[in-house]
Amino acid sequence: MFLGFSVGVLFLGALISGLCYRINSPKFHGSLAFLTSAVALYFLNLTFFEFLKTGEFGWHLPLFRWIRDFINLELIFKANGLNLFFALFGAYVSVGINLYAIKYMTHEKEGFGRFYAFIQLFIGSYLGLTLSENLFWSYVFFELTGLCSYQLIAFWYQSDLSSFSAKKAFLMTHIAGYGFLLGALVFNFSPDPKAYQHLILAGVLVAVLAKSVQWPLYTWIPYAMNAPTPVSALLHAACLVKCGVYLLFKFYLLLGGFPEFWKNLLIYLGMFSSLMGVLFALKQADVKKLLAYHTVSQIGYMVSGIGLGTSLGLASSLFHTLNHAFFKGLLFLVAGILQQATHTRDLSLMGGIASKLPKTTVLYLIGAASISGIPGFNGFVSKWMFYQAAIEANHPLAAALGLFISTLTTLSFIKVLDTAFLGKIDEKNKQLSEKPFYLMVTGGIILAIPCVVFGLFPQIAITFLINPALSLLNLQGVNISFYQLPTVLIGALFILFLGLGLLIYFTWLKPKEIIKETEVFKGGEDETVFNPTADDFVADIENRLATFYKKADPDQYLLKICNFIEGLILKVYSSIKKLEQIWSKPC
Amino acid sequence: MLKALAPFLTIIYIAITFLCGVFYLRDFNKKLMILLCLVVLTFSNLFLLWGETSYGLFFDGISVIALLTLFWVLGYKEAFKILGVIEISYLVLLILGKTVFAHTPEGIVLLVIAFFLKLAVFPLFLWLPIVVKIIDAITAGFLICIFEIVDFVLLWRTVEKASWFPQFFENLREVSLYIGFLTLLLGAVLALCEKNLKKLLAYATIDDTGYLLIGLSLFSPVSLYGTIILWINHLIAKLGLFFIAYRIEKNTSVISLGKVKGLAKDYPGLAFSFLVFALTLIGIPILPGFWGKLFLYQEVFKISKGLFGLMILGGCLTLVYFIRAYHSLFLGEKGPETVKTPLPKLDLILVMLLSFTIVLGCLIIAF
Repeated sequence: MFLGFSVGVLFLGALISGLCYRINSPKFHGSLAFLTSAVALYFLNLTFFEFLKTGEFGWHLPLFRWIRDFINLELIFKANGLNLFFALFGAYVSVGINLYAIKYMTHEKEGFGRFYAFIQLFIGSYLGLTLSENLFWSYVFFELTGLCSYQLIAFWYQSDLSSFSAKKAFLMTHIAGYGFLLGALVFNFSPDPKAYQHLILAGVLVAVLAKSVQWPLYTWIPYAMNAPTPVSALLHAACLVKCGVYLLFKFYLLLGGFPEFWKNLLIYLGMFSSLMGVLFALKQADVKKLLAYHTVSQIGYMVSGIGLGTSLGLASSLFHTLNHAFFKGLLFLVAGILQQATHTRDLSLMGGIASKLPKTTVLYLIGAASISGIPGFNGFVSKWMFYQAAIEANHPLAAALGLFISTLTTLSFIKVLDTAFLGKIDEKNKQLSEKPFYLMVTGGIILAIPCVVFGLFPQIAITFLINPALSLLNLQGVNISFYQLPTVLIGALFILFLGLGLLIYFTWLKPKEIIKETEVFKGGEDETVFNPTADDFVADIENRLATFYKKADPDQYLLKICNFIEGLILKVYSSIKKLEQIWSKPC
Repeated sequence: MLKALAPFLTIIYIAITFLCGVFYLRDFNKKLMILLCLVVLTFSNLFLLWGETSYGLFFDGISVIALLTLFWVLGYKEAFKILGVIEISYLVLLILGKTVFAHTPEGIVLLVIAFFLKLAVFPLFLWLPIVVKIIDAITAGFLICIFEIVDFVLLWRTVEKASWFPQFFENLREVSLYIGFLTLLLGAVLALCEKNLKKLLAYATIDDTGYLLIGLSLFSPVSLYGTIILWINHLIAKLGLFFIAYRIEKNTSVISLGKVKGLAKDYPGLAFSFLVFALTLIGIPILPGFWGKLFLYQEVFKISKGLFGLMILGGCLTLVYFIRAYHSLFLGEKGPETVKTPLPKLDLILVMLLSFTIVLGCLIIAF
C-alpha cells in the first residue's frame, strides 16, 4: 500500500499545485512540493524496511478491466532490490532539491503553480517508472518524465532560446522513446521474447541513448540547461537521465542478461560517450553546460558497467548511478548559488568567491572531489569498482579509458575551482554574502552527506542497496575492500586523522600564528599577470583540439539527416500543392 | 458495438452542433436561415446515425442540401462549389451503391469510395484542405466533425456488410489497411510542411482519419476499441483546435505559423488548451489519444512489424508538426503588435472540451 501512496501523494501534490496556479506564492507551492516529496520518501523508507524484513512484495491497482481479456494494463508496483534502489535515491535527492528550490524560486515573478506541478509530477512519474512492473505502465511513466522535462525546460517560455531548447529535448527524447514501446510490445506479444532479444535491445538502446544522453543522442542536454537550476539538478542530473540506465537494468533482468555483442557494444559506447562528454566539458565556460557534459561523461561509466555483465561491473554501475545522483545534484545546486550570487553562469566573470561563499565552496569541493574520483569520496569507490571489473572482465582498454576520462574530469573541475572560487575577487562581487543562500546551502548539505558517507563507508550502500539488486539479477553480491582493509576501518581512520589535523590547527597552529596567510603563489608569476579566466583555459583547449571539436559534434550530422528527410518531404508537398492548384482552379 | 455507441455519438453530435451554432448566431448574419439549416442537418444526420432504413438515401440527400445551403448562406461561394462537386459525386456513388448494385461486392465498393471521399481519404483528400483554407475555422471544425461522425458510422456499417462475402471482406480489409497507412503518412507529411494553421489542421485530420481506417480495417475487438477512443478523442480535440484557430484568426487576421508568435504570454489559457489537444492527438501518455494508439500499435504489430514501423513514423511526424505549431504560435518572444485586439479569455467551450478530454482519459483508465 505504501508503494502506491509514495507515488500517489506526488500526483496529488501536482494536482493541487496545478489547480491552485493562481496562488502566486513560491513558498506555498515550494513547501507543498517539499512536503509531498518528503512524505513519498517516508513511505518508500517504510516499504524498504518491510522489504528487508519480508523480501519482495507488490501492490496492484486493477485498471482497464474492460479490456483485460486482450491486454494486461493493470498498474502493478513491485518492491524489489532493483526498483527500490532507483526509487529511494530519486526520492532522497528530490527532497534536498525541493528544499533548495523554495529559496531559489523566490527570484521568479510567476509560474510557481506550473513549475511545482510539473516538478511533483516528474518525481511521481520517476517513482512510477522505477516501481512499475507492467512494461506498458513503465512506458507511460517514462514518457511522463519526458513531458515534465519538456514543460520545465520551457519554464521561461517567453525566451526563444528556452522554447527551442524545450522543443529539441522533447522531440529527441520522445521520438527515441518509441524504441522502448517497440521493446515492450515485442516482449509482451512474442511467444518467446528471447528469440527477438536483438530487436528488443535495439529498440531499448535507442530510447536509452536519448534519455540517458549517450552518444550520439546527447545533444539536447546542453540546451536543457536553459532552465531553472532545480530542474537541471533534479531532472537533468539526478533522475531523468537515470531512466535510461534503469531501463537497461530492467531489460537485463527480463532477458536474463545480454548477448555478447550487446555487452561489448555497451562497454565501448559508454566509454566513447564518456570521452566525448568530458572533452566537450573541458571547453565550456558556462558552468551549467560544463556540468551537463559531465553528465554525459559520467553516465558513460554506468552504461559501460552494465555492459561488463559481471557482478562487480553491474555493482559499479549501480553504485555510480547512486553516487552520480548525489554529487551531480550537489554540483548543480552549487552552480545555482553561484548563478544567483553573481548573476552569471560564465566562469570567466566569477573569481575569488571562495572567500565570500565559504560553505558553498566546501560543498563544491565535496562534489568536485566525488565526481573526480578522489579517495575518501563516493565517486572514487564506484570508479575503482569499475576499473577492477573491467580488468577482471578482460576489458583493460575500458579501464584505461575510464581512468583517463577521470583525469580529464579532475582537470575540468580544477578549472572551475581556479577560475570561479580562487584568484582575485571581482569588484562587483565584493559585497557578496552567503546569508541569503542558507536554505539553498542546506539543500546542498543533504546531498553532500551521502557523498562523504558512501565514500568512507561504501559497504552501507553495497550491503543494503546494491547487493539486493544484484541478487534480483541472479548475480553474486559484492564486497568492496581497499588494500585488504575493511572499509569501516578506513573510514574511522580518515575521520580520526582529519579530526586530529583540525584539532592541531585550531588549538596550536592558529593561536600561535605558526601558519601565516600569504598571497597566492603561482610558480613565481606576478598574480595580476597570472590570473587565468575560464576563457583562457577554453581558448587553449579549443586551439589544441580545434579539428576534433569541428568534426565531433553529432548535431551537425543529425541536422544533415533531418535536412535530407525534409528535402524528400518538401518534394511530396510541392507535388501535392500543384495537384491542389489544378483542383481548385476550375472552381 | 456500433449500436451501443449510437446514443453517445448522438450526444457528441448535438453538442458539436450546439457549440458551433452559438458562434454562428453570435458572429454571422441571416441567423434564422442558419438555424434552419442546422436543425435540418442535425435531424437528417441523427437519423442516419441511429440505424439503416429504406429512407437512408432520402436523409442523405436532405443532409447534403442542408449543408450546401448553410455554406451558401454563410457566403462561402468558392467552398460551396468545391463541396458541391464532392457532395454530388458522393450522392451519385451512394445511389448507385444502394440501388443498381445493392447487396453486391461492387455496390459495397461504391459505397466505400463514397465514404472515403467524404472522409478525405487517400487519394480523395485534396478537397478538404482547399475548402478549410477558404472558410472560417469554426465552420471548418464543424464540417470535419460532422463528416467524421456520420460518414465513419456509415463506413463502419458498410464494412460490416462486406463480411457477408468472406473473400471480398478480406480483400477489402487489406486494401483499406494500406490506404489507411498512405492516408496517415501523407496527411502527416503535408501537415509538416504546411504553414497555414487551418490547412495544417485539415491535413492533421487526414492523418487521424488514416488511424481510424487502419483500426477499422483490422476489425479485431482491440483495434475497434482503439478506433473508438481515437475517433471520439479526435472529434473533441480537433474541434477544440479549430476553436483556437478561430480565436487567433479573428483577432490577429493572420493564421500563418511564424507570423504570429509568443501568444502564450497574453493568452496562457489558449496555449494550455492547444497543448493538451495537440498532445492527445500526438498520443502522449496519459491522455486518451495514447491509449487509442497503443491498442492500434498492438494490433498492427501482431500482423506486421514493418507496418508498425510506418505507424511509428507517422506518430513521429504528428509529434513534429504539432509541437512546431505550438512553439511557433505560443512560445518564444512576442512579436511586435501581433495581436490587434484583445483575444477573449479562455471561454467556457474550451474548458468543456478540455474537461471532456481529461474525463475521457480517466474513464478509459478507471473502468
